[in-house]
Amino acid sequence: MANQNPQPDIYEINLSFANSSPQGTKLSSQVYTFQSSFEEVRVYAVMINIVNSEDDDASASMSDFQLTIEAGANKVPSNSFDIGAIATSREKTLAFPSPVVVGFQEPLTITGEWMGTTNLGAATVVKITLIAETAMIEGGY
Amino acid sequence: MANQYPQPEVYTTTHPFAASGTALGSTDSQTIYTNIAHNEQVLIYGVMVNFYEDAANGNGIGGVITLTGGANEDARFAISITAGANTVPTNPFDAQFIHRKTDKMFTFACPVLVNHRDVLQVNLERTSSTAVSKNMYAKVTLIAEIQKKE
Repeated sequence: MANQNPQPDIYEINLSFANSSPQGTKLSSQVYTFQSSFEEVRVYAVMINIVNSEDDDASASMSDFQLTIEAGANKVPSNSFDIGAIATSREKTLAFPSPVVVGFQEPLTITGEWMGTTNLGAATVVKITLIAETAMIEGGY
Repeated sequence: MANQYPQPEVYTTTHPFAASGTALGSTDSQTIYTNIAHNEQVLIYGVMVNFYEDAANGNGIGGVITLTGGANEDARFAISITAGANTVPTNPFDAQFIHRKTDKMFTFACPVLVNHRDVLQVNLERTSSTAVSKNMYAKVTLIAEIQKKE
C-alpha cells in the first residue's frame, strides 16, 4: 500500500547469467509490488545495465539479450524485445509510449534471455530497473 | 488484442547479413505480427537500431559493432517500414546514424499507423558498394503502442 498517491516506485531486478550459458538461457525474477486492491502500478520505463562479475559495464561485448515483462496473465508489451540497444545507449533507459499497468494480485515477472549465437563469454549480470508509480485506480483499464 | 488501453508495444526484428553475400542493394525483410483486433490500431513512435557481430564469427560474442574506421561501412543500410500497402515514411532512411546516436533511437514527427490486417514489415537495404567485413546482424526495435481506434 502506498504512502502517497501517486507514489514513485523503482523496482530493481538482477539476473545473473553464468559463464558459457548457451543461447536461449532464460532467467526470471518476480517483482513484489505490495499494492492494495484499489491501487495499480504503472511502469513507465525500463533501465538496463549489463555488467561483468566486477560490476564493470559489459554491454559493448555482451548485450545480445532480450527482455520479457509479464503483467498478470499476459506479456506487456506482447513480445520480447532487444535490450542491447538500451544497454549500449548513453541513457540506458527506454520510456514506453504508454505505461504497463499492473493490477492487484497480478504477478509481475521479468525474464531475460541470452540471444547470442554462441555461449556467453563470461559471467554476466543483467540489471533491470523498472521506473514506475503506484496510484489509486481511477476509471479502470 | 491488447491487455490494456493503451498498451505499450516493443517489436524487435533481426536481420542477418553475411560477409560475402551482402552486395549493394541486398535486402532483408522481416514481418511483424501485431495480433491486433479489428477495433485496434498500432501507433509506432520511434525506432532503435543496433548492429551486432555474429557471435560465431571471430571474437564476437554478440558484441555491438563499434563504428570507427572501416567499420563505418558495415552499418550502411537504409530502413524502410511497410505499413499495409505502402512504405511509411515514404522513403527509406539511414540506419547508420541511428546506431551511432547516443540514445540509438530515432523518433518520428508523428506516429506510423498500422491497422487491422495491415502487413507490418521492416526492410533493410545495403547502401554501400563495399561488402560488410564480417558476418553480422542488425536488430531494429519499433517503439509502439496499441490503442483503440477512435
